[in-house]
Amino acid sequence: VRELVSTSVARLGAPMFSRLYRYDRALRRKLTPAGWVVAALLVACAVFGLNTKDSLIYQLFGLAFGLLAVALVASARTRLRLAVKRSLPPVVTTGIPFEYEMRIENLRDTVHEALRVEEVLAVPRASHREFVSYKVREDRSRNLFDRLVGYPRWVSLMQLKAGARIEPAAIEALGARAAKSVRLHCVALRRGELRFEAVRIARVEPLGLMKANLRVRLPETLLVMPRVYPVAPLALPGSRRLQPGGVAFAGRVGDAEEFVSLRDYRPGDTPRRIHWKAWARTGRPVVKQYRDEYFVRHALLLDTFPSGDAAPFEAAVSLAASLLMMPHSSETLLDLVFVERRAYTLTQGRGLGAAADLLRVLATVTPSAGAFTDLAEAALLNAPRISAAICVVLSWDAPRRELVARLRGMGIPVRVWWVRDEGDTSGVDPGPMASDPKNFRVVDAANLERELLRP
Amino acid sequence: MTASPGLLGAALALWGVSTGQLAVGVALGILLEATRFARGLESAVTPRRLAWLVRLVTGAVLANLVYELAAGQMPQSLYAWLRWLPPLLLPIPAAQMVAGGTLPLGPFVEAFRGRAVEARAIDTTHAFAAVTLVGAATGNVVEPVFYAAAAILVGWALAARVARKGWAITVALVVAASALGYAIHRGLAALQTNVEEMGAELLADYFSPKPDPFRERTRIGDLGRVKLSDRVFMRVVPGGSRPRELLLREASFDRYDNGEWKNTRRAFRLLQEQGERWRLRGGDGPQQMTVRRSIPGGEGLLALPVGAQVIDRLPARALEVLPIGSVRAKGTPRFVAFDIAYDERLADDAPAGREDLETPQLLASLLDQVIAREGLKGVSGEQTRRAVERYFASRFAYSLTMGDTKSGARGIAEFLLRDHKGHCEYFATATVLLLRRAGIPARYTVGYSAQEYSDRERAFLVRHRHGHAWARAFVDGRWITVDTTPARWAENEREAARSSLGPLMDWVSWLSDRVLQSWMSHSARQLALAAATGFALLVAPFAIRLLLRRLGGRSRTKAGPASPATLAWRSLEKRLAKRGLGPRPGETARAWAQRLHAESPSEPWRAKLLELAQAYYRVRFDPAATAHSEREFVDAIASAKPGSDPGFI
Repeated sequence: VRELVSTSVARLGAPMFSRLYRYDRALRRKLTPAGWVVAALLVACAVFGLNTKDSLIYQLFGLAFGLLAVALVASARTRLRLAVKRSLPPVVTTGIPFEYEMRIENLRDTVHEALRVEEVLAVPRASHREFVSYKVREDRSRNLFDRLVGYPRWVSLMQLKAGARIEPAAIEALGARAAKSVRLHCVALRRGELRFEAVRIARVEPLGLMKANLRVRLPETLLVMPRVYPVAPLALPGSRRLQPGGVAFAGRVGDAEEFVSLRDYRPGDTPRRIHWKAWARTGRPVVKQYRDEYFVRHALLLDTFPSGDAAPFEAAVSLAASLLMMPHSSETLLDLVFVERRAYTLTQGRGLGAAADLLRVLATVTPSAGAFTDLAEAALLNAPRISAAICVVLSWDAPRRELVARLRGMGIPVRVWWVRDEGDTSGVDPGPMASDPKNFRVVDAANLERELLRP
Repeated sequence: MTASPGLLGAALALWGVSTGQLAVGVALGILLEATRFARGLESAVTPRRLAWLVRLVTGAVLANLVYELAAGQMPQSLYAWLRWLPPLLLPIPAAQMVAGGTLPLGPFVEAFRGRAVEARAIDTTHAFAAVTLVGAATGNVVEPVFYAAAAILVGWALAARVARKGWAITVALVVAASALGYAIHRGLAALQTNVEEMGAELLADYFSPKPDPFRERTRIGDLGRVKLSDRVFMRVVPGGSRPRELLLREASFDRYDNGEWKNTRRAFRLLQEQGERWRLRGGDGPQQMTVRRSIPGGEGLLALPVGAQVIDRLPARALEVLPIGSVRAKGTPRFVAFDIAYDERLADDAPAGREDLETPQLLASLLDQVIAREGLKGVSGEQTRRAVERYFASRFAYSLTMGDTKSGARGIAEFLLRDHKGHCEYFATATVLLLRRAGIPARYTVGYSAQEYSDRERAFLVRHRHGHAWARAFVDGRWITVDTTPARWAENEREAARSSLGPLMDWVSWLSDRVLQSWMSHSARQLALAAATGFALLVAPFAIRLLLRRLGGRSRTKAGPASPATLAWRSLEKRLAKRGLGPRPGETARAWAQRLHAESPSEPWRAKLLELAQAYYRVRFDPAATAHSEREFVDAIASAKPGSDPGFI
């Protein structure tokens, strides 16, 4: 019944909340706290003062209306001409507060007092379905009052979609043709792109009820990395495996020239390996022969097919990021395999992509609409080259078990992290991992940090 | 930020004065202001206690709402609830004053949602001041000064928040806002009055009692002012020459009793219909008129000229004629238009009887006194009539004001002896009584005076306010009309009933009359045809537009806004066109640049133009072109200015 209340309020309320949110934001842009009191007085008087013969409330309506009208006129023009420059850090991490500087220059010969600086972030539209799932999840720990009143959840969803909470800053006085720097305090609420649209600089009119806003377009993006936690050392057994064409990969480490001998050309050899000088000398095609290479290569399989809420998926991304960032031997390659519309395999180690680059990829990875078999296919394709696999999965159903079983069947040691919702308390059957329970971890999305530290 | 010292106390004092709870208001104000001086109690306001206080106060407010709704009647119960909000909410601003500064928002949220929120501070004192003002506005003890007091309090609250330097501007703006607010609330009050009147006029047909041929309650002895409606309810088109005024009688009465006229003759005669033609008496009168009016409920008295003979084109189930001259129609459509043939020289009333000479016993001596003092009784009936008319014309004035609560009710005695002022009912009643006392049979007649001729409509407009009363006297063997009401009455009533919406209402009335006229003068088939044509004309533009859109399809799709690169390129084209080097009609950008370059290959700017044209094509048509390259292109065009390259203008 509780879930039903949340769902129906979310479903019925979503269109109204969306409109209300827009009006609310517009009013917040315009009104000061004192302005809100007068606006509330206006509305209350309009409701209760309908009949001018019953009470004097209509007189207060007139007064409130007059005040707001005068304030509106007084705040119609900003009379500000400013140049704004923002200095953002290159990257930031979800949930870690940071500060950045903004330089504001007055381009006019007048002194401006009591300015308020606010960031305007681009907020993508929220679909109704998105809101329903968000509210149902958020409501789980809330009482009936909260379930019935859904608007605060809409506000927090929109804040999450905007991506950050940025405290407005105040400038007490900005001299004529002078510049001032303010520091803005920001907390990124989610990973991905943070899109700054503009900077709004507000001046309060003399009645103190409304703000005159100057919007300076200043588009910029900032990449927010997923949250990374320390991970207890992970010892995965596994031998070196043959890496066909491996030399092309090994740009930095040692045996780059693994040239062994020349031999006669056989149909099917790539023309790139033809040794032209030898051909010229001998008169018949000759190719270079290289020694095959053996590396340790780990695969990190990230399940991008969440079945329910977004929280376990976010935790899984965080987990994958944490695993990427943990110290690795420089001799080891790490493949990150995930599916987003199509399967991707990105490799790190031995001079290939740095961990930070893969982290950037993880910062923007989104849930995929396809089936888990896409990921399984991609994993099995590379399986012969893999020494060990780490699977971060969002559920423990038949396709996932089958993948793990097949990998193990190929002699590949597997560590499974099953990230699930904090409310999920269903029984756990390790399935193919029954023989290796140490490497089968069930993690609560909410307790990720603690779980990762467990050896 | 807490409200400035004294503000809340003053607001509570205003609440006390306005609601008649002066002692309570002042005591609460002093108590609240005193909490500012409570020292060392800050730690007593813990979030937990505050959450409980919020729950307690909310509970009290809700309980009071339930009580008021159960005990009183809407909307008074709502006002009573609002009135007691300030004392009930008082503990919260008091807690803020004790805590000093602001209150944390957390406990307010926690009180209902059971979970803490981020640490934000709020100020409850100004909101409390606003609630107190609303509470004060539910009382009306100090109505004349309430607005000024409220404006001063609000101005105080606003000015206290600004620095001393900006005071003057703030105060000036508060004064401007207050003046605007004053105009608005006065306007609102006037608007409500107007709307109520308009509503009353619109609904008058449904709620006003039907005229009764046997009984007419006059407003003689009532208090207040006669309320007049400006609504047009009948149109009279005179046949032949247009008279200055037409008196249309609805009913006549013969017995007066304490402010009420009655009819002693109750017998009526049913008329025989001759195909929507009703004959009241013999003859086909020399005078004609057409009446268009509404008969609410399909039943009512017809306002007819004296001497009406034939009513034509009136669809009715029955027409009844009373001996005293009233005609009642039954079973008519709501809107009717009919012709009347009449001869005003014919007296159609029942002959004068004993009842037409009766006067109430109580008034007899008074009437005799007036007749004797003024010498109203002449030798002949005609002389008496003239004397009575002269008496009213010389001594009396028209007034719509009846008695008021101070001077009490005014009867006929006060009218005749004391103030000599009144509306037509006073004049007609007094005339009838004086004539009767002077020995002339007389009757009291009510109806309408059609005197407002509209050139646009070519008809007399008869409004509800044209309702009139006059006397009929039996002089020299026939019934004649004696109207002693001063001639200014209609003018006075027009001024009294004037409303700002009057012309609009008249226009609406005229429009509906036109529609009704054409409705009544056409057959169902013609009407259906007209409706279909109208509908088709209305729908045609939409249909054509839809059709064009279908046919035009994609070719008519509007081009999107030009990209910055295109705009920059066009500006370049314009610059060169001024030198007579612009592109020819239909010439593409590249062809144009190539032509210019070929004309004089040695000039470097022409080579640069060619480069730019190629860059423009890349930016426009290369799918891999980025926003960055577009910006570069725009910058390149912008930099191709006279300063940088003499070739470009």
